[in-house]
Amino acid sequence: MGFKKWNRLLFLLVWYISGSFHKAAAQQTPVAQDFVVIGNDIGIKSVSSSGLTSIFRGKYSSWSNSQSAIIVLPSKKNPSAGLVALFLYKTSITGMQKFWLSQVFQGRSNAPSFLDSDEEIIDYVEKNPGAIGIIRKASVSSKLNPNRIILITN
Amino acid sequence: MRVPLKISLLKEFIKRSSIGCFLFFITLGAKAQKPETHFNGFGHLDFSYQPADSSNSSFSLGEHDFFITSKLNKNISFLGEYVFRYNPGSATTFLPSIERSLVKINYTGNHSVIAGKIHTPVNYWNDVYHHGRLFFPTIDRPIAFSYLIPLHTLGVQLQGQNLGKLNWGYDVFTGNGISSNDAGKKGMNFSWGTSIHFKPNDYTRIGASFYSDFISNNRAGVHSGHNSNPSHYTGPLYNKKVDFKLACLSIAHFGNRYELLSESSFNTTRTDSLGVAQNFSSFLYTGYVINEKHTPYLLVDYLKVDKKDLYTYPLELLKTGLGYKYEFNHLILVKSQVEYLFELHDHKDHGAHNNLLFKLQLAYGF
Repeated sequence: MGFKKWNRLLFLLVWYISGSFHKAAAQQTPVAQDFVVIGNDIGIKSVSSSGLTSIFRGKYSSWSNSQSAIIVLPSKKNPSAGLVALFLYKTSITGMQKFWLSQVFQGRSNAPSFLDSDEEIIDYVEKNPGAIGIIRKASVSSKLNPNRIILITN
Repeated sequence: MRVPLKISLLKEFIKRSSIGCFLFFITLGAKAQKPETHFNGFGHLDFSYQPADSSNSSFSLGEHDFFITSKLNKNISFLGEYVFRYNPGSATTFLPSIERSLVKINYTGNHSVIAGKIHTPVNYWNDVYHHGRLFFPTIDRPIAFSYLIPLHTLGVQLQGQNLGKLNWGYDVFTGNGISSNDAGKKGMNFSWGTSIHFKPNDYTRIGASFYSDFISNNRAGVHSGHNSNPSHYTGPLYNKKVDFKLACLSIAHFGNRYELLSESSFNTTRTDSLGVAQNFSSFLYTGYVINEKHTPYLLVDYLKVDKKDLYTYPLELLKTGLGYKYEFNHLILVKSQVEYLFELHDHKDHGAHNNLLFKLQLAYGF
């Protein structure tokens, strides 16, 4: 009886682990064309995909024009969060949040601003010089100042 | 009479210069701005079970960490880490301590000057994990943290990070060292050190460091995990000067599938009585990330303190362990660990002996 019970428990554990693995693998990988990067007075007009990843991983404390770098990201409530996490951090929303919690705890980066909607990200970047944010292409509206768009090159 | 006068003049000069520099930097480019302050908390609850001696099995409340960051203006930020931890000397058996309290001035690009109490950046673990059990890959710190590693420095630090294509980083620091406390120290000798690292990709960091301190009376203050009255040593305690040097090498890789952390330290202590002692420690962690929730891992941790050492006193420990980490999300996780500690030196009470331990840790942050 005991042996059967343990077998059943082991089976459930393996099923659970492999199930969550397949769930992660099933997600579609987003590409640069799915997003629009916006910046306010950050001294650059275009950025490569790899450069973009570096920026959003906190590589720069300040921009070449001496503006302090402010990273703006979608929060868990923002529908863009999962896609942005996968595109920039190759992980889930939780993985992205874990990365930033660790960076801030190390004292190596200032905390990014996590905002609940792409509209809020557009508004925040517009009001804060040095801010850089990323939104889904589908969220681009007339509210977005075209001068804020940073071109993503390959 | 001349020497004390010179020292007091020098102290006064340093004091005034420091205040002047600090005020200069504070006003430099400062534009009135509302401070942006963030508060976080971290804590952990532990359980350990020792089959050979079940009287040593218990739950315990771990360190509780209050963490603050604040952006004071566009170039200046503050970071504070205040910990409540077990202390048998307290009426409640818990006492608060300041673990980090620093002002960081980003003076250009990715270069900063830091003033305050820092975690001495001698290796990856001490520079990255600090007191956050939520971030530790294993339940405990490497053994060397209780003996060789100077955990904190109270002083100034120059820091550079993410420089060039390989993301080079450097730290140069000086301050009150091992024998001091947060209120100050006696004498004019300061600890100093330097470290360098690079990140060949987003998941890997390789670094090396050198640290030097002169411990005038061989007493550890609050900046070291070392205890001046070691439980493993029964001989007479040495209370004269010790010249302490430490070199460390760290290799860290935390990828989406594999995790590896190797921390090695080589330490020498020189005393007038027994000359130079050479100590060594090595910690190796490897983890396999099944997915973002499940990570089984292995660890091996070794420390050898030379028979001529009068700072840590002779000691040889080997720990091997097998563990499993389950992350509910980025704010809470559980680690379980089975470990075997080989005490290869003669123990004060029992002679050489070995311990099998089962440990559980619930670590959280908010």
